Amino acid sequence: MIDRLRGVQLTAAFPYVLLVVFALCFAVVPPVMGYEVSSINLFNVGQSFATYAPLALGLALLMIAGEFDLSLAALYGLGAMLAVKTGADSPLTGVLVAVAVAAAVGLVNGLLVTIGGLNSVSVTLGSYIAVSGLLLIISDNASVPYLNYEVGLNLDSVLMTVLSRRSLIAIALFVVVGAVLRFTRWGRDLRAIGGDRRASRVAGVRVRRMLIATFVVAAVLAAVPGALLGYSLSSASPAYGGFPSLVFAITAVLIGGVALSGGQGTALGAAAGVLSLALLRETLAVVAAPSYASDLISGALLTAIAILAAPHLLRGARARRWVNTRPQVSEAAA
Amino acid sequence: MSSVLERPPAAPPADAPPSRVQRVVANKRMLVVTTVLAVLLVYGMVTTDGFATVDNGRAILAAIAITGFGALGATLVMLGGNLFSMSASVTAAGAAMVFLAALQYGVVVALVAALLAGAGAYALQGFAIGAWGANPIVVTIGAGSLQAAVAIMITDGSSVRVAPEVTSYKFLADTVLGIPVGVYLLLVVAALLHLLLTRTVWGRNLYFLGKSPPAAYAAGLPVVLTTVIAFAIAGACTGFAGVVQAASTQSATINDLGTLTFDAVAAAVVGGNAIAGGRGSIPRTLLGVLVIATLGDLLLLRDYSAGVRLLATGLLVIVFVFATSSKEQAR
Repeated sequence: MIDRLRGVQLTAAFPYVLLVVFALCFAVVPPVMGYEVSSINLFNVGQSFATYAPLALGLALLMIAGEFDLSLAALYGLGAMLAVKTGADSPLTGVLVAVAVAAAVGLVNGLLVTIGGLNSVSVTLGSYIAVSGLLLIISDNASVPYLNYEVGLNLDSVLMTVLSRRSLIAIALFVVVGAVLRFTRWGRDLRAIGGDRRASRVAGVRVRRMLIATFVVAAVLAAVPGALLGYSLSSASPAYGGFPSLVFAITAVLIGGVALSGGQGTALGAAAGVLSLALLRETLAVVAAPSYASDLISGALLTAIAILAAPHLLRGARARRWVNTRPQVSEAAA
Repeated sequence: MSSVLERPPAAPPADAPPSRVQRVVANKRMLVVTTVLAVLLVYGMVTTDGFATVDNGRAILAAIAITGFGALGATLVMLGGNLFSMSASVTAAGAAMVFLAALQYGVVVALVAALLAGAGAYALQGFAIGAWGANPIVVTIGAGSLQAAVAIMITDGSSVRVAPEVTSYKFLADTVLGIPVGVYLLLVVAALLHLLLTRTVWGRNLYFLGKSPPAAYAAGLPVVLTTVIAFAIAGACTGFAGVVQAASTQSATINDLGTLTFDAVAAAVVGGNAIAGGRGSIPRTLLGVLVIATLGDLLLLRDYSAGVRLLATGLLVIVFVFATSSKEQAR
């Protein structure tokens, strides 16, 4: 995924322009179709944000570093299951267990990719399958109720008309990670690793250590919202996470201006991407669109953005065949 | 007097290419991993009651048809250096739905329609990947999501069934000599693919392209066409997996075959095909399918749950990704 070539360059403003477009749709489309939008719908957008944003943020960090992690989607479900199973008495314990297990998986992924020199997509496909298996084993292939309802009610109670503790936690995670990414050496190094790994190594960046840490942080960022979702819904099912959350996260991150080729992206952009998708979902829910509409639009959006980002899109058909600089997909770990 | 336009003198003849044994020994990781796996499997077979029976052998073979077709598709995608398709499950299920819906026009029409549906879906993605260099993982995830939504839109979320009076397809679910027809079909298709890969220019080009895309471009190979054809055939194979499934279940929804994506890639990787492309073969894939099926059967006989099987598959994938990644990729 480390391409020197870039496809259509999204301008830095793209994620925010898109956000405004989706916000306008949210404000205009339902009333035109005879439905009413109220503050509760904005609250729902915040809840969607809380559910998916940290997962997308973790993926964004890895993509900025030029890596990828499919297993995040499974860790999300595993986080919910572990928290619900182990947090019956103390919800904090449940979250900590989820975080610890996720961090361990992230560490293994990071070690395999850095020390083992393996392609991160391939390795994390393996860990995605393995973690899905672990999730089935732990849950005994059935959903598990969480009887401490208070926790969920507390997390989801409405604050300041549109927020909840859960969405505040997600926002806080974004502020912290975003600040680190924007203002610290760590953030600069991460972009350097994704932009030009060799140059950054020569410049003294501890590439392996940074990458391993990023895999761990991303895994934790996937497990935390999973755990909170488990509390919020008062149950965990082995079906949580998985493909739909992966589609959501990847789409959000890409329309949020994080480049697949690495080196580019901000937490604020990723947040805008998640908000755009959350607004889209809520708009569709308000106008009582059929359930597939959301998948249809986000699938189309993801395919379109993948093609737009393709490095050879703007080449002529003749040149495409001959020019010898096609990036190797297998080079992601190089 | 020599000119720059003249050909350089021919390179001295290289040493004889390494023999098969030399190549195996050179790849030590692979040797260690396969030995350990073989020992584990043999240990499992010896100590598990009811493993070494004819019936159980048939049970293993019965399990390989669907995964096998998926794995053939995954192999073609992988060989060309395109990693893997994340939409195999959806494409297979979609082909199953097309097959059942078209059965009223006869089994041949239905089969062709299902395979074309799979081939078409994959070929479009293959074009975006081969011609524009789009990221294969993201494109196939997006396209998978899109296909699932379209399937639900068309069927309104209900399962596609075939009228009970239609029996023309039943032979696909039959057994001959105790082995399902699907397995024979798998072997035929695998043999054809093996010939295509080893005996045609397209096959050569695909290996070359997977091994070194820049070299393939520099050499002026028809990169786009090669990739699109590989994806189209991969899609048809994936569609075949759906057809075999549909013939036995007689109904299909888009969520059937949920683990095919993983099983297919796992089988192709465990067979020793390089996930980065350029190295691998159809016989290897079939071996991988057999290993995965045997492992699943062993775990089932020993009363382990589906979760354990999935966990073991995932770990196997990681181990084999490690074993098949070549030195030059490592840092």
